[in-house]
Amino acid sequence: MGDEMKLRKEELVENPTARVPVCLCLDVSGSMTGAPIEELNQGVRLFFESLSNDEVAKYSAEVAVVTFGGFAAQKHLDFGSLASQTVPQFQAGGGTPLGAAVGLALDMLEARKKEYSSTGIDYYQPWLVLMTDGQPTDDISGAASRTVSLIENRKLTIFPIGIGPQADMSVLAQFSPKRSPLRLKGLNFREFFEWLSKSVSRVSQSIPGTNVPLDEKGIKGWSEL
Amino acid sequence: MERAVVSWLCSSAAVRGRAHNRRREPCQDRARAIRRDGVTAIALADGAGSARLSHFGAETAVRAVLRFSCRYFDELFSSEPGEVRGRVVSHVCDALGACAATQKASIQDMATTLLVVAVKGSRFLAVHVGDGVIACERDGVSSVLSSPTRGEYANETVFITSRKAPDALFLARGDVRPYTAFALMSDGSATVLYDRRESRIAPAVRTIWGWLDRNTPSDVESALRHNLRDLFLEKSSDDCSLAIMRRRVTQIAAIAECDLEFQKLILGCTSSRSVRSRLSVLRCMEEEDYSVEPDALATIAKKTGLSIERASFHAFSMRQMLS
Repeated sequence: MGDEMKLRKEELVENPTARVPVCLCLDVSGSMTGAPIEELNQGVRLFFESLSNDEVAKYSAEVAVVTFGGFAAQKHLDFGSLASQTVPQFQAGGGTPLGAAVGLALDMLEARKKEYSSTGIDYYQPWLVLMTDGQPTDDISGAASRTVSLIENRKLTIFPIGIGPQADMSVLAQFSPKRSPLRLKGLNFREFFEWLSKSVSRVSQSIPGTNVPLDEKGIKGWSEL
Repeated sequence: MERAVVSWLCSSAAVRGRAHNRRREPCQDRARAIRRDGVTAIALADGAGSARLSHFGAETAVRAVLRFSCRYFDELFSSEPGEVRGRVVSHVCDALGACAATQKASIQDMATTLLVVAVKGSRFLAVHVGDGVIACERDGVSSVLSSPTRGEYANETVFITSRKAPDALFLARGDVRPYTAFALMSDGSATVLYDRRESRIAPAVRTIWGWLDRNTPSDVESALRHNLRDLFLEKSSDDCSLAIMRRRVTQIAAIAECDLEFQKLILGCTSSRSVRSRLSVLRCMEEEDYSVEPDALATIAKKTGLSIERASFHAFSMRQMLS
C-alpha cells in the first residue's frame, strides 16, 4: 500500500474518554482515630496512585471524596481529572453524620453526570463507596431511600464497607438492596483500594454491550467472609 | 444528450480490537458489501461484548440483511415505515434464531447492532439499530445520516435482538441522486471518525471515499484494513470496522477505455462476456434513444445477436444505471 491510501492523524477526530465517576464517602469520626485513619489515608493514596499509573483509568476515572466526622458531612475533594487533584489527607474526630454524607455524595454524582451530558462526555454508571466503622449519628432514612431507588433503576453502583467489629452492617444494608455490605478484614484498606482501582480500570476499558463482572476472587483479599 | 452510467463502488474491512486480542477472543465486527438484483448494498454489524456468540450473530445479521434488502428492496422502499421496521427486525432475528439453534444457544447470545445502506437505481434505503454511525455525502457535504442510539451509559446500546429494536430502528428512504457516498462505521471506528460533541464526521471519511475514485475496491479494502489496524486501534481498544460506498459516474464513451476490472464494476458484471454484451447493448440503446419498448428491444437483440431475453435483461439493468 503506497502513501496515497494512508490516513493522517490530523484527519481523525478526538473524542473525550468515557468517564467513570467514583465518589468515596468515608467515615472520619472520632472512632477512626489512630491506626484506622492512618491506614485509610494510605489506602486512599494508593488508590489515586494505582489509577494514575493505569494507561486508561488515568483518563477515565474521576474521583470525589465526601467525609463524615465532626458535626457535618464535608465535600473533601470534588470531581476532576486525577492529574489535577491532590491526594486528600484525613483527620479523625467528632460524630458520624452518615445520612448527610450520602445525600451530599449523591448530589455531587448527579451534578457531575449533568456536566458530562452538557459537554457531550460519555460516562459509565457512577460508583459510591461507603465506608464506616460505627453507627450513624443522624437520620439516614432519606439518603437510604434515595440510594435504593437509584440502584433499583440501575443509576448507581454502591460498595458498602464496614470497618471493624463495631460497624453496624444492618445500617449499611439499608443503602444496598442488591449487594450485601462487606466487612473489611482487619485494617486492609490498601488491599481494598487496590481492588477498587483494578475494578475501575476494568470498567473504563469495557466496550459497549459488556457487563463487567466484579472480581469476586479479589474481594477475598480484603473482606471478611 | 450524452448519457452516463451511474454505479456504486463498495469496500469494507473489520479488524480485531486490543481488548479482544488480549483475551484471544474473535473480532465481533463484520462488514460486507453485495451487488445483486440491481441493488448495491453495504452492511455492518458490531456484536455485543456481553453476548458469547456475537461474532456469529454479527456475521449472520450482515448476510441476512444484505440478502433481504436486495431481494425485497422495492417492498421495503414503498411499505409503511412501521411494517418495514418489523419486517427487517423479524427477518434478521429469524436468521439469528436459526444460527443460535445450530450452536445450542439462545438468540440473546447472538446480540448485535446493525447498519445497512442499499441503493437501487435512483432510490436508497438506510437502516440502523444501535450504536455506530451512518455517514453520507450529500451535495458535496459530508454529514451524519444516522447517529448512535445509546443508553445513558457508555457501555449501553440497543441490539437487533432487543425488545425495543423495532421502535429504536432508524429508517431513511428517498432519492439517492443528491448523495455521492455513504459510510457505515462501528462504535470503535466512530471513536476516531465521528465527533460526538459536534455530531460531525471526520475529514478522513471524505479521504477514504476518494480512494474509490482512483483505486479498485479490493485495493481500498486492503488499505482500509491497514489503516484500521495501524491508526484506529491506537485510539480505540474496541474492534473497528468500516463499510463504504461511492457513486461513480462514467460517460458511456469512456467505459470502453477502462480496463476490464473497472468495466465489470461499472457495469455490474462478473464476467468479460457479460461486459461485452452490456457494452453492445448500451451502444444499441443509444441508437434507440434508450427506449425499452418491445420494438426497440427486438432491434437491440437483432443488432447484438443476443436472444430477446438476454437483450431485455441487459437493457433493463442498464436503464436503471443510466443517469
